[in-house]
Amino acid sequence: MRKSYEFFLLYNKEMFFNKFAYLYTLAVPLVIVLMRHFEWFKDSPTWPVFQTSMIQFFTIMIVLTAINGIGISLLNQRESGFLKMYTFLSGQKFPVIFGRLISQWFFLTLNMFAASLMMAIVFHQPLLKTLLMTGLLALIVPLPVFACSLLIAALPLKPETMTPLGTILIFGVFIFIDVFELTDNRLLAFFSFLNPANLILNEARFLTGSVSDGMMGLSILTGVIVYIVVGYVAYQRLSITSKTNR
Amino acid sequence: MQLGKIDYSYDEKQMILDKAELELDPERLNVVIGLNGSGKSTLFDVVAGALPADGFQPPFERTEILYQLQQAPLPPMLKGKDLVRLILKSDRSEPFRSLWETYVASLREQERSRLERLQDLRLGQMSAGEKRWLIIRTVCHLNRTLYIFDEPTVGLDPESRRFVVEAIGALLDRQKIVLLSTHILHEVAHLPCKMHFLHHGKIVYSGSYRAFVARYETDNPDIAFERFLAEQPTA
Repeated sequence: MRKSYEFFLLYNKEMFFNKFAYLYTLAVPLVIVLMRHFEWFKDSPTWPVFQTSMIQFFTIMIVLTAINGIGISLLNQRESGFLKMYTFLSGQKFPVIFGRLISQWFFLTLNMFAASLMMAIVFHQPLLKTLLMTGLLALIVPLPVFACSLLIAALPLKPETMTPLGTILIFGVFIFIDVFELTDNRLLAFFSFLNPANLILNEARFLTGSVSDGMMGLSILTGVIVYIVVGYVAYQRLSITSKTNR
Repeated sequence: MQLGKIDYSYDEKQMILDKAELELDPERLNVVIGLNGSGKSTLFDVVAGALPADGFQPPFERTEILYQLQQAPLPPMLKGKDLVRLILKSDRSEPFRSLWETYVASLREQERSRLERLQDLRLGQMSAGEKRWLIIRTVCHLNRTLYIFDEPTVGLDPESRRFVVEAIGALLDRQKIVLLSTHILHEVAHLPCKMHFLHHGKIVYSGSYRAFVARYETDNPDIAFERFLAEQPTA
């Protein structure tokens, strides 16, 4: 953990220095939510409506962080030789990767608190309730998707290929939300965890008590297990050497 | 220390390492030489365990190996002192202040003044040679069993080169095993070293520096290198 902490510090310094990436994760979802709920400036929403929108907002942030901040960043680190160099410095790849994960988790949490605080003040929502919800969600919800994002880092692709693929992946994830959201088919609803955005939405709804359906609980549990297993296997297979450069 | 025969191929068409037999001498610097593209970095990757090769087991656990790459991809916003911290803390749990003091005390006077200048400078503002000196000088302070340096002196000015070569040479006094590659053969002339010539995937010469240059009745290792190559059968 001591070594992971050192990498956590390194990545945080990098993140503070590269403010654009940090703001991107905060600003893009914020703009989307504000554009979708422009009427809130006139009439403040009720708590359930606000909560639903905040969960959607957090979902976008978590997916962006997992794909860009963890998956593609680690793939870039592998290809540039960073992962190899630091693995041999620390003696293991775990601290280098885990440090990245906790750094992104930390910044996501900061972003989530900053956004929810701002939204709660602007739209006259109960501050403490908003912050408690944010804390609960930030603490638990991102972990399975973060673990699974290691799959991106393990792909034998070069960064030039992965960056546009990442953008397509982000679009795909959000386009397919409604396929699972609007279905009446119970089987399709069960497999909604296959889309990371749906898994995050369902986790968040379950934790905040918006949904307490037994089948949904089973879907979430299956999703969490599947994502963690995929993440574990991806971690094991994640090579520290470049797949495209000698 | 016999490492056995090493085979490695990236695309299964051309063998980069073809039964390369490397025997490390723990009491001398093990210097791998060869043409560009002869597979020196691949050999180091395999020995370090970064690339898995069929039938080959790295001689030590990864935690016992320090492998310094030819190109160090470092975040440009990191300051010199941040980098030193990252390296030193990767081995030890003491407070950074005491690690820093011990580290600084181990440096020569000229090196200290250089460190003083670099400690608050961002890596992006340092020259390639300054970064290389800082990294190698610091990793030599770590406590591992096997140290692998891929062309550690590339781009260094003569003074930095001397500091780095001495720091690497001093690892032998601490009973460490050192494996490095270089194209600047003169720099190892005055160090106890065993040369390993890698050519067409095989180690075609292993022996002392003096014996290598003496074969061609010259003091110039570059001439010996060329003449040695000329004697080798073409692939």
